[in-house]
Order: sequence, then structure tokens, then C-alpha cells
Amino acid sequence: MDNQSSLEIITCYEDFLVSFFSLLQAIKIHGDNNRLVVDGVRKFNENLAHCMEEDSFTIKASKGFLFFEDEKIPYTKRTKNLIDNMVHYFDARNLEGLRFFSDFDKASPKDILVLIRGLDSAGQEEDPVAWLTDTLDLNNLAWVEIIQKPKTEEEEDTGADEENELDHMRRERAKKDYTYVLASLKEVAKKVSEKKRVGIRKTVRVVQEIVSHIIEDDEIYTAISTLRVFDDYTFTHSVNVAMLAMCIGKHVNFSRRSLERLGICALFHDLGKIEVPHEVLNKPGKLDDTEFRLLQEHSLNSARLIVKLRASRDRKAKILLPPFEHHLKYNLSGYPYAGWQKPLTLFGRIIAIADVYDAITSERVYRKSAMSPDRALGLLLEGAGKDFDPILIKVFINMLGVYPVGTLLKLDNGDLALVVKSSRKKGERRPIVTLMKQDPDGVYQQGQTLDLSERDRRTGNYVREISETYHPSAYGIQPVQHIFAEN
Amino acid sequence: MVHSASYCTNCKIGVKNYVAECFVSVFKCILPPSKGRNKKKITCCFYWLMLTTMTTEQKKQPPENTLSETELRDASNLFKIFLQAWKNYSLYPEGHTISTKSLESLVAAFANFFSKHGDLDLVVEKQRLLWQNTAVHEVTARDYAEDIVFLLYRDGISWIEFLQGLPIDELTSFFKILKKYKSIQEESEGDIVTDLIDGDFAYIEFKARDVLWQDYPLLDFSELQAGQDSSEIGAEGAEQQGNEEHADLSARGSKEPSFSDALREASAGGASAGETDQKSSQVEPEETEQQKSSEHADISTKSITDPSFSDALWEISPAEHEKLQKMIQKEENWDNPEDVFDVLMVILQSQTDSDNFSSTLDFTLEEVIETIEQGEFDQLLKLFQSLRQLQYKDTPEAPTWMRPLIERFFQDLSKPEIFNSICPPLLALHDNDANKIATLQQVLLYFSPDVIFSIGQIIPQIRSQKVYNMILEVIENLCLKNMKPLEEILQHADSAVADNLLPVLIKLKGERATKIFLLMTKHPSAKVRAQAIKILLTKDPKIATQLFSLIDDPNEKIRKEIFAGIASQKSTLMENLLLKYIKENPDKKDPEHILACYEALGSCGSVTAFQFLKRILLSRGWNRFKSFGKALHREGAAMGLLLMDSWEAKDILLEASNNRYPVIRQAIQNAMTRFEVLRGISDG
Repeated sequence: MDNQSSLEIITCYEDFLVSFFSLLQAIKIHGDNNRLVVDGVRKFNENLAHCMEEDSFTIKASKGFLFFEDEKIPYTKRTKNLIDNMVHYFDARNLEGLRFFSDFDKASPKDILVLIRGLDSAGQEEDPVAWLTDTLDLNNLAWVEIIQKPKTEEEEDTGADEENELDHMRRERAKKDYTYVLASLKEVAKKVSEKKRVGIRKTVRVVQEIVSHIIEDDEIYTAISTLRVFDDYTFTHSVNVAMLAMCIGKHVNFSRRSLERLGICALFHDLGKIEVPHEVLNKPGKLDDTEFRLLQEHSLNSARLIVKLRASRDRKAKILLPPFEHHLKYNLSGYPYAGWQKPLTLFGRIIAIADVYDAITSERVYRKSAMSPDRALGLLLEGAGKDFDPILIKVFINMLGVYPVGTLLKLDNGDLALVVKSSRKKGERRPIVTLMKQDPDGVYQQGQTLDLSERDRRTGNYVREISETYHPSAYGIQPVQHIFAEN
Repeated sequence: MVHSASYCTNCKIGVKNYVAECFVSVFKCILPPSKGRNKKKITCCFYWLMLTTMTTEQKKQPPENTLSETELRDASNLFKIFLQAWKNYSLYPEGHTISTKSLESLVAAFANFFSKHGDLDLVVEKQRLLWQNTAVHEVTARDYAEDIVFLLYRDGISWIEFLQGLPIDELTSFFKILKKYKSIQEESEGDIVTDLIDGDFAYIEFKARDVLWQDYPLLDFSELQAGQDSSEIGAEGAEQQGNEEHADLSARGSKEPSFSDALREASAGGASAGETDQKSSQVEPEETEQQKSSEHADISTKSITDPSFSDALWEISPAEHEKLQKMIQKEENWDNPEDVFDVLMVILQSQTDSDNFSSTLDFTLEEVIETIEQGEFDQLLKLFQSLRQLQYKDTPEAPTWMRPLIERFFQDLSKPEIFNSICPPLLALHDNDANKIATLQQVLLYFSPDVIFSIGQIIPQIRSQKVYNMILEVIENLCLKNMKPLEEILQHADSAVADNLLPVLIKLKGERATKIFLLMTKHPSAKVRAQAIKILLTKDPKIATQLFSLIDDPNEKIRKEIFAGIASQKSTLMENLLLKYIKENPDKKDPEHILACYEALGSCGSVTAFQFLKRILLSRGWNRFKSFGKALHREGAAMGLLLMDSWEAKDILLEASNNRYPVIRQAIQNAMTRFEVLRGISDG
């Protein structure tokens, strides 16, 4: 094969990859009749046809690489993120790949969408491969075949153990990330407050790690962002905002580099608070005008302190603006009062949402109780278009689900249940919860896990209903303690 | 005593025997005489033990050399070139020929390697690099700190892979990163790993382990208190609180803080929700009831799961999706110095602390340099205008330290090492870039006059006439503040630079400018001297008196210029100078020079000159000054009289033409011939 035809084939594969992935993303948000979806199906078809040289065309993921017809797809600027995302997509569904047959050209757009939606839904299933196989059979999609990951006997036996191990690994990894990023932030803040010139190597390094992990699995990071530490609010708040912001960024498909930048911006968005006296930050009573003005200066001070960090000019220039902006509000009616007329950057708008959400779902010295996450979302929705970017609010709600992880529910039978996995399916309001039971010491302990989407077979009604929502701190519950507990 | 067998193969046998002997001795001591003290048996046991141990030890070591000879040879060759390229890159400045050539060789070597063996994946160990379990590079203790293995290992890289197709720019960037972090400060901005990740290389893959946190204790979530009194909440308390909340909710909608109140207050007062709720929650007691009643009607604390909220409210429409994509694209490509400058100005305007102000200005300077390199002059102009406004803000509360700090900023900006970054974008401008040229002109006027040093150097390189004219205007304007830089550069610059800068001086008025021109008449370059003289004489012919000494200038053109200047008008001063000169220098060898002196004397002279010329022409035997008796001087005198163009001179010339002495008549004839030639030249 000469170089020219080689290049053409690679381009063909890349085009297919782009169209495949775009379609996978589009159906998450849009209905089948949506123009984007219709166009997406057409492009998918066309590109697959171009790639189909023989009777079949295979796409496989193996050891972190993507192979089309056993040919490794090279990493280029265009494909790097796509390849990573596709590999993770397959891994998350326990697939090695897919095989398309030449009679796919007889498939209708509807059939193609069945496959695509099936792939999407399979991510929620306990046994994605089996579920997908059933779906394909049920819908007579003979032109496509699932390629399973080859399992050894041992693997089959230890499948369940592996899953637990994977879960454990994910949790441990998230825990490490949170610990390290919190520590690095505190280190930076301490040195800045001592007027020392401080480098951000550790911060950058850990944020880069987090980015890699969030791209693989953002759910665990939205979960860990529910950590609330009353006596260490400022720093844990910054970390939570960074986690949430990066998760939003992942959901809108920012590049790795942008996610990193977003993470660092969000982490340092409240750096200026180190110059606000503790008495003001933690004052239980009403702030007077001077105190309030001091507090309002923190966003400007964050920007100023970022300038002083030991980092490249380029990095500082790129993380300077969002911390400055994060209290300006979408309609620019916020502060600092500097006559700022420019629309906020996208990062600034993302951080604003994450910031307010975390703040109002946290107990503060001047506020007796924190808002439950679902109510917080309701209020954020109210502020859309005025305080917050309306599109990003939607992204945020879709990301967290209407019952975000960490919401405490009261069920119809009076049981308390903590949301441990939100439902992100469109139109779905039935999360997975863990029952919380009080022990003899009055401390709430984790109980059975329930899927609230479960229905009674006879009646078709939901087995459990939700009657009320609370913030877990009202019951002394720290959600991460239970979400990250070993099973 | 024991020499481990695994280290020394050569003396293995001898050592083993020695140790065996010791073993036997020890064993004999331990065991009772009757049991197993047979030396042979004990020795066998010993060897059996050794064999077992050796085998176990050998098992721990990885299989050595799984590569074929060819593979090992190819890898070693590649590595030699790799290390040499790295060495050259770290020694020489960026872009150096040696370094560039090494890199090119390395790329070629990689390509050759890839074609035979595919991608090169290396495991990084503390002191070596492994390819397929075989060491392809090992470091000695002496060179360790400089070696590439050390750098990679130090920052935690556990493996690194170079992929087929590796281009030179990626390799160069890779080396650049290694060089940047050859040594790591305590407060570093990053390390090899952070920059490799940011570099987003398509042909270099790697994995890094944690080297920064190691055994840092992880958070124990069970020990972290979420709420204020949560540790004191018992079962009853929690239930009670829950009931209260429930009752409250059903009675009043929500006990939770009224966020929309906060939002409303925020829109009115501009404060943020996070802080405003701190204010709003602390209302005066008499206001509480009023607020509570407003909360009855307040629906904003509804849960998002409330049936009144339809899912459609957070469904993203195709138009919104498209808008979002555009926003993402914009943010991905964000690189707008104007926004950065605007924030920096807000920070500067709000500062009450000189240290903070200064550090912000320092960063502003860095950003300005970058913006200069990008050629974004309009943004620079806006910033400079704002800074000047801030500097000269006339308010009582304006701090006294602000003006000098801003002034220092502009001084720093004008330093050559910073200003030089403006050269490439300046030289890239064409005559068509009228707006940009105009903007740049305004920008340059904010620099201090010291910048003339730098500007002057690049003038010869300017191709665009408009840019050239603009630069001269800028220099002219800067000279109005301080002419010294121009003076200094003109004194030391080469002729190309000085030549280009002299026209600026023409536009400058005052003694200082004249003084500089006069200095230029002493410039090493004849071209510069000539130009300066011409300009001076054009400006003010009388200045020729100050230039008299230049009649001895080695350059003929300059001498001619001076004589022309002298001859251009009547001047007693010049006349006296010439007379003195002629009298003191009768033996000048160059006849033309002598004649030129007489001609000039004739042109500028008066009665005094007339008498002298008459005497020189007509007197005989004036051999005291033997030179004056020579024909050349008579001829010169005749020329002088001819050029004097007065009745007296003409009479003398007529008399001389009829003089009985042939030498005098000859002098007249020669003078007439010469005069005709000169007139012909000047007429032509």
C-alpha cells in the first residue's frame, strides 16, 4: 500500500471516528428527529461506507489504543481526545469493540439509532454486553456485532471481585486526588499569606491527574465534591468548586488542556480570601459595610495574588480572568464594581455556578442550615439568565440529575435514604440510594442499597416514593463517608 | 569475610571454598562429635545450600538480554545519537547550528529505528533505561545528575514511548522541556511531567508515578464534620430537627434560607448570593415577620423536582447546543491580552499598597512584552493610555508612590532587551499597514527617549518608507524630551545608522542639535561627516567658520564642501583664517589644495585679501618664503583675484597680464585657463 492510499485510509478512519463519536454525544441530548441527530446518522452511514472495504469493518479498543481493521489509529491533534474518549467509552461498557457488516447499508436510520441509543443505555446496565446483545437481537440488527473482551476462566470467576476492585480503585483514586489537591491549595495559600513567592508545581500536577480521571469517570468526582467540612470551609469549598467545574467542563467536552486550566482557575478562585480577616469570614452576625466591602474585594485579590504566583506568564494570563469574574454575575450586576462591561468568559460562568451551588449547600456559621441539593438546583434555575448562564445551568442540572448525589431523601415509609448514584437518564427522577439507619449511638449508618426506579411487577408502580428532601448535614451525615465506604 | 558469590564470578570458586571451610569449622563446633561431622558430608550440604541460594537469587534477577544482537545494536546506536543530541541541546543556545544538526540526525535515526523495530517504548528505572527488559542506557554515578535518566526518574516518569513519525518539532519541544527543568527549584512552576502533559505531544507517550505526595496521609472522611452541631446531634435531636424542618416546610414552604431574597438584594445592591445571604440572614427582629410573610409567597426555594418544573426547562435545544459549541470553541482558543490588561488595570486602580501595585506592574510588563511580540499595538496603546491617566490622576487620595512606579514601568519598557522584541513586528509592517503604523507610532511615543538607542539600530533594516518616516518622527518627538540618547547613538553608531538619523536632527532646533551636528563632523565615517557638514552649511552657512579645520579633512569631498561653504559669502573671519592658513602652510604638497585655498580667499575676502593676493602675484624675489615665489602661489593669487570679481582685482589682473616678467604673465594665463574650466563645470 503506498503512502497516498495509506493516508487516505487513515483520514477515512478518522472521519468515521469523528462522526461516530459526535453521534454518540448528540443522542444524549437530542431526540431522534432533531436535525443534529439526523445529520449525524447520515454522516455515520457515509463514513462507515467509505471505510468498509471488505465484508466487514471492525473497530476495537485495546491497551489504550483504538484499532480500525486491526490498524492502530495514530494519535494526532485531531484524534487524540477522541481516541481516549472512545477507548473509555468501550471500557465502560466492557466491550472490546464492534463489527459492522456490509449489509449495514440496508439499515434504516431508525435501526442505526437503536444501536447508538443502545450503546448509550448500556453504560447504565449491570451487564452491558449481555444487554446490548439482547437489544441487537430483539431489533434484528444483524449488520452489527458486539466484540466482547476475551475472558479467561479466572476472569469469569473473579468478575465480580474485579468490579469491586475497580470500584475500590476509583474511590481510592478520587480520595487521593481530593487529599492532594486540598493539601496543595493549602500550601499555596499559606505561602501566599506569608508573602512568599510560591510555585504551583504540585497543584498543576495533581489537577492534571484529576483531569485524566474525570475524563474517565466524572461521577465519582461529583460525588466527592459533596464533602463538607464545617471548620475548613474555604479550602474544601475551593476544591469542591474545582471538581464541579471540571465535571461541567468534561460534560461540554472541553479539551484536556482547557479542563486543566479550568481546574486551576476554580481552585484559586477564592485565593483572595486569605486576605480577609478570619473574624469577618467567620462572623456569625451581620457584616457591616466595611466588612462587606472587604469580603467583596476577595475576587479582585484572587486575581492579584495569582499574578504573584511562580508560574509562566502564559499560564497566569490564562487563569487570571475567571477568578476575577466569578462574582460579576451573568448580567454583570455583581462585583467588583469596576464598570466591567465585557461578557464573562465561559470559565467564569462555570465557576460562578459551581461556586454558588457549593456555597448554598454548605452549612455556614451565619446560616443555620444548608440547602438541599435539589432545592439548590431549583434556585439556580431561577437565577438563569440573570445571575447564571442559562445554557450552563441546564448542563449542570443534566450533569447532576434532579436528585444529585448526596441528597438526603425521606421515603414514603419514613426511611431516610442517601442518593449515591444520580439518575442522568433523560426524564428519569429515580436515583439509586442507600438507606440510612441510626445506630444505638444515634449515628446514621449505611444500610441497604435501593434502586428507586424499581417497580412492582404486578402494579407497575414504583416500589418506593420520595416524600421529602433534606441536606444530609441536618442529620449529621457526611455523604462521602458513605459513598466512599468499602462495601 | 564473606564475599558474596553473586558479585564476583572470577573468584567465585576460591571464595566458596574458603567459606565452605569456615562453614565446616562452625558446623563441627555446633554438632556433637558423633553426629554428621564428616567433612565431606558437611561440605556437600554447604554446596547444596549455596546452589539453592544462588538459584533463588538468580531467579530474582530479570532475564538479561532478551534482544537480538541487531536490535541491541540498533538501540545502542540510536541512544548514542540521542544522548549526543541532548548534550548539544543543553549546551548550546536555542537554534544553534550544532544543536539543530544533532536534532536532525536524531530524527533520522529514530525514523530508521522505527522502520525496523516499530515504536520505541522505554522503561525508566533509577539508573537505566530498558527496552524490552534490556538496558539500553545505564548511567554512571559521576554523570548521574546531568543524565536524561535522572531527569525523567526524578519527576516520576516510569515509562516513555516514542512513536513512529516523531517529528523534529516535537523532539525539540521535548528537549526544551528537559532543559527547562534540568534543575528544579523548591518553588517550581512545574516539572517535566506537567509540561509534557501541557505539550500534548502526539508522538510521545508516557506514564508518570507520584513523586510528590508519597505517603501523605489520606483524608479520613469519617472524621470530617459537615455541620456545625452535627457531632452533638443524637437520634432524637436529628429527628426533632427533621420534624421541625418538615413542619416548617409544610407550614411555610421552606425553612431554608431565602436565596431569592439574596438574589433580589444582589440585583439591587450588586452583592453576591454567597455573601449577601450572610447579610440577609441577619435581619433585625422586627423585620423577621415581614420577611417571613414574604417567604410565604416566595416560590423560589422549590425543589427542582417540584411538578411545576418541567424537564423541558433543562433540555438543551439545538440552537443552545450550537451556541454552547461556539462558546466552547471561543474559550478553547481564548488568548486575549486586552482582557488581561483590563483586569490588571482594575487591580492597579484599586491598589493602596505599593508592593502589590509594583508586583502587578511587573506582571503587566511581562504581558506587554508578549503583546509586543504578537504585534497587537492597539491593545498596547489602550493600556499605555490608561496607565498614563492613572499616573497623572489628580486626586487628593492618589498615593505618592504611584507616579514613580509607573514611570519606572515605562523606563523598564524602554530597555533594549525588552524593546528588541518590538523589532520583528515593526520590520514586518508594510506601507499598506497604515493603521497599524499609526498605532505603533503612538505606542512608541510612550517609551522613554532611551529607546532611541534601540530604534536607531534597526533603521537600516526598515524597508517600508512609511515605517521609516514614522520612526524618524518618533525619534524627533522623543528628542524633544531628551536629546542625549540621539547624541550618543550618533557618536557611536556605524555610518548606516548615523546616516539615517541625521535627517532627524535637521528637524530639531536649538543649540543642542547644532552641537550634535558639529560632533558629527568628527565622525569616523566620511559619509556621515559629509552629510553633517552639508546639513550644517545648509542650515546656517556662517557655521562654516566653525568647520574651518575640515579643510584638512582627508576626504576630498568634505574639503570641497568646506571650501564651497567658505566661499559662499564674504566673511572677515574666514578671510583671516585663510590668510593665516596660507601663510602657515605654504608647503602643502597638494597643488589643488593650495589653489582651493586661494580661490576661497578670493571668494570670501575683502581688501585685506586683495592686498595679499596682489603682493603674491606681482612681487618678485620674495624668496624669504620660498614657496611664495613659486608659480603655484602666483597662479593661486591670480585665481583669487579673478574670483574676487572687483574693479581693483581686475585692474591688477590686467596689469599682471602685461607684466614684463614671464612668470607673472604665465601665472595669469594658467589662472585664466583654470577659471574657464571651473566656470564650465559650474555652468554645466
